[in-house]
Amino acid sequence: MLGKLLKYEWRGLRFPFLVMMIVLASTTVLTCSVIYTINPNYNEAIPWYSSMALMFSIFLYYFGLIGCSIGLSLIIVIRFYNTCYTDQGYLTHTLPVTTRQILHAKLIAAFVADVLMVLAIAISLFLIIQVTLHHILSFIPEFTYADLMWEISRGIGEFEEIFGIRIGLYFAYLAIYSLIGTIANIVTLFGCVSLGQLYAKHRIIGAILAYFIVQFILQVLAYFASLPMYARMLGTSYNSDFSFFGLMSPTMNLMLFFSVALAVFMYFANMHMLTKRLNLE
Amino acid sequence: MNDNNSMAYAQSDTAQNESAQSSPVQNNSIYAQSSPVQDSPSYTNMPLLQLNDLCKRYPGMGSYMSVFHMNLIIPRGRIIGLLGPNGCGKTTLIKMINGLLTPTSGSVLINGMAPCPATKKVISYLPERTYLDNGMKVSQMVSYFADFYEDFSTEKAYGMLGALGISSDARLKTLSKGTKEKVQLILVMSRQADLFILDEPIAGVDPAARDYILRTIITNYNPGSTILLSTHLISDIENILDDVIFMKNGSLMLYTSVDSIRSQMGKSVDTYFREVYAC
Repeated sequence: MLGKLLKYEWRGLRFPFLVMMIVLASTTVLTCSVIYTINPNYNEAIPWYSSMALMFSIFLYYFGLIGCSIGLSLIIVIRFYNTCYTDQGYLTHTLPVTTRQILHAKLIAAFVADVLMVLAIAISLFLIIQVTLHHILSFIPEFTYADLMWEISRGIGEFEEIFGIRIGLYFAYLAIYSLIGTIANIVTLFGCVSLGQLYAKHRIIGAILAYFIVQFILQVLAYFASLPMYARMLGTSYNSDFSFFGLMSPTMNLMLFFSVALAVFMYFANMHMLTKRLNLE
Repeated sequence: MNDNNSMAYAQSDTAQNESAQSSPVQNNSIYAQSSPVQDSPSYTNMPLLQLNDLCKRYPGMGSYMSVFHMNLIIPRGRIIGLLGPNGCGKTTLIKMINGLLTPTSGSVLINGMAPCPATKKVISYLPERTYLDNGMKVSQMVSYFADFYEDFSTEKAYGMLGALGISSDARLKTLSKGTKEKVQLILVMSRQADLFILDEPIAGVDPAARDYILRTIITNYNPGSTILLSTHLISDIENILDDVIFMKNGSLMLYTSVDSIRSQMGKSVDTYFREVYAC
């Protein structure tokens, strides 16, 4: 049954997801096209319309990225609210499935959508950077793309010395950090919607209020999580033993721990609200 | 069954149930008669639906109970009207049977089990609201039901849709409220469930649609199943009912057969209802 739930969950998300992909692709193509209109040769003035177009496309791209990432979260949350707590909830909660399966299907579908969105944004950024580099380098005959790659590989060689961790490990750490963070974020958002149901007369306001309270708590926890980093930074003034990663990792680990702890709490809050406190209007 | 009724009344000793106790029904001889449950040959040790001292109090409602110490046994093979004025607890009761609300105390047993995925497999529920996803097409909703309910008949659903001239390619958001309700009813009645629970299936639709809905219910009714039908429009459904349940202030007032009311009282259920709930 989980597979069937997942199928319909994905069907519910795929259309808005596709729209956002189109928006992202369009802004990426537009930005790349505008970049080609710029002549970066320092001894030639850039036409006003060209610089305006570049600024406009960068703004558009920036808001496109923000819109896609926030928009996806909103769509996931709205779908969760609609299918679990509004009239559609009558169908969802009378299906011959467990509440756990319903919640897991929504989490998995949202997670897949989030990961795909991150990958799409990464590809988009990579394309823009590549187009920009190729375009700029086309005006510098004495410096080729191969030269640039060689410089970058040299930088990668020095990565471990600066960051205190091998580049592969660092990116693996970031990937795992992001994946766990993404799951925790989805569970927390769902939890806020569920906790909002406690405020029976204004459930949406309740959910928004729950979200702000959760964010406030996370900010307070972030302050405490950053204390080890500050302590090490102060220590570094006298003793330069700490690498960049050595400075950052305790704070990042603590923040991840707090996020996961909050997500675990929210998971059980979701289960409790969906089973014991469900009260559809 | 009489024991169950007696228990319900015996426990109706709070202020909220005083009016129920003083109703004309209480002095009626119907209570002394054998209940329809006892008449049913399929009444076994495993009733289709059993309510044991069921109570529901909503948060923020003080001590008021929307369903108050309700005891009831529903057998198989009956069409039962769940009747009562607004706010008497019909929908709350239905939601608890469907597992949409958790009882404050007491229990609901369907085939001997508390509401769970196994009980949801045997209940086909039509809520008073439109619960379909407006973004989906009618055919997609049919596939949805076919995917989740093993007892769903796709042929039956398409047959009924065709008979009503509802296009399976139409998106639900393009359909009128009445047509959506018909689609919803078709989906619910295309199952071979043990228990059909229909909450206000004919409210808010025109008389022609009302006739169609009632015809659909009767046509698709499986004699081994039970239909629990909640409504205010008693005169419209009276002829299809085997039994009636009267509720007042969250309590069970009466559970008897339609024939008993007619023969003992010499009145139609509608007339009797108006007397019982006269303001």
